[in-house]
Amino acid sequence: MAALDALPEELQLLIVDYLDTPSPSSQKIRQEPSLALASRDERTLKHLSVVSKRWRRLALPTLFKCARLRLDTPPKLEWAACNVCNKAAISPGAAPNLQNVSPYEVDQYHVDMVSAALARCNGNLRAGRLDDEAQQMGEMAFAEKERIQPSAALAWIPRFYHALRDFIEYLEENDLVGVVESFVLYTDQMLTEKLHRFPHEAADRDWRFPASAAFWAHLLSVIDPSVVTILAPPTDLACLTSCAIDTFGDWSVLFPLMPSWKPFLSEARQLVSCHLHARHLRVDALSFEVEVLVQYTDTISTGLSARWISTSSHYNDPRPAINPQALRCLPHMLPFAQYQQPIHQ
Amino acid sequence: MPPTYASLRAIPATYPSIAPSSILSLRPWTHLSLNEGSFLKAYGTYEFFERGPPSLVYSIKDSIMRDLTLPPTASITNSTTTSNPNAPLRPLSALTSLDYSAIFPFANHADFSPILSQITHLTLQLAPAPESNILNDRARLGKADLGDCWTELLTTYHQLIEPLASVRRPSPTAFEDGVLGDFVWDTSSHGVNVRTLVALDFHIKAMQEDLDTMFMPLCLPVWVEPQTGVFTRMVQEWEGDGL
Repeated sequence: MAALDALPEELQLLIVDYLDTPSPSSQKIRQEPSLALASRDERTLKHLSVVSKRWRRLALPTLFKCARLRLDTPPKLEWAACNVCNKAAISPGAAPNLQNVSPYEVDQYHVDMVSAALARCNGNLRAGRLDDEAQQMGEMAFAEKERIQPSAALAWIPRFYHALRDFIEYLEENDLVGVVESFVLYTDQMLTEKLHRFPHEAADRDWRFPASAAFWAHLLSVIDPSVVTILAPPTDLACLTSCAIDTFGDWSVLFPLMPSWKPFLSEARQLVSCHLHARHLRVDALSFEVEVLVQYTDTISTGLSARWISTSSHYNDPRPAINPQALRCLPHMLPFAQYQQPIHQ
Repeated sequence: MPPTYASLRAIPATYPSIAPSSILSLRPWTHLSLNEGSFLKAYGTYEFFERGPPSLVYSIKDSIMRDLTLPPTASITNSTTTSNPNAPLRPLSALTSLDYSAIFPFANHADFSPILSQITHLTLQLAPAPESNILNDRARLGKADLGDCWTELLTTYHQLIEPLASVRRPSPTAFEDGVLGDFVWDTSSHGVNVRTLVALDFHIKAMQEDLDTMFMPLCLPVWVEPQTGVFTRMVQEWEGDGL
């Protein structure tokens, strides 16, 4: 390795170029969709990228030619510092007033979307739906029964927004915005229940529709990939593409809902892939997964996450106080006690 | 620049349809690959052919069919916003290439004949990929009758070939010129713009004979088959020759 390090950078870049192999989807595009479609077996370039900071700097532009983002990963601890999500979780019954969002600055559309979601929830609670039964049960219990509790309505807004924001910031910090040629968004099943036969008819409770539309508009305002790939179960794919679908029939049996799923062990959930090409007819879709510089935990497995390791003081240092209730806004949260453990080892 | 919340129109108005703020409207996409996976378990259900899968196909076809008469650059918002360069495009208005993969989709589901006036490159794979072992997996096969599966596959191709078949019809100028007997070669349906049709299921040796018979209408001089399962339209060379 010492001999490699002694080479001029031009030759090192040439080596990196030789390691740039076709994306896995070029071979797997017509295989039955699974989350494995987003993974590659050939990992030489990834391994090279964790050798040293120098090789990582050289390899990142090639790795990020094909970038991918998984939505249904555990939320980051830092997301709880978002005052918008904080307030939504802590004061679900309060009139939405989310204009003061410092010190964690967010985009205005995120503020507006959470405000609208809160207003919808509060409106449902107050506009005639709080009958005798609700008064006996209490607001939150009634809301939960009616599936309009704020945490459900807001559940995926932080996931869409903060995952994208982290991704974009990582690209910008590493000067990678212009290198992304292919982008993959993929997720396993997001919800464990069917809200409506036509998912878009439940959009007043399912805020994934506006959240995903904002996601794409924001992402494509920053990067200009020629290929976009979306991999998700059918109902989730409808949300991610803002398309109407009909889930009539026994397809809930054909595609049973299960809270957890290992894609390599079962076909319990059918995945559908949708590739869109802006400029090329040739299929060239899925991506590299970028390795962290140093692997710390099992849950941190992407280069995106590496940012949280290498920039521990990115947000507020000392780390902002986190109200346990704030974590309710983030779906599939780890037990709060786990957040008390330091992520740096 | 990040979007504004007020500008988002993320909810489809009806079924089937695509919302104006869909990712499908944000770029002039030219190619769409859709892989819907296996339909095998559905064949084990009662009157499976009457059931529709939860699929984007209907909204995609509806979007293309509904506005085929509009210019591709027409905005989907309204006439007052067409001058806005950031206005979303009509969904899939630039789409010319479609790649559809599934494992034994129903014929009434994988029917792309209504959109052949916009699609110029169509690739289909309707049987399991050669490396797939799904047909040997009893759990995944379920109660499906494979006879039904292959019948649906052949029906799907049959309904696709019908509008693409080579036909010989009188030349539109034959009577104007006062010369009888002039003919042109064309596809059986007017307005079909398919230039390349790829049927990847030709790679299944056991299917080749049946598919060869079925694809017989895609023949010279309108179509040529440079590779097995790849049909290229030669009509441009023959148009107006009065053969």
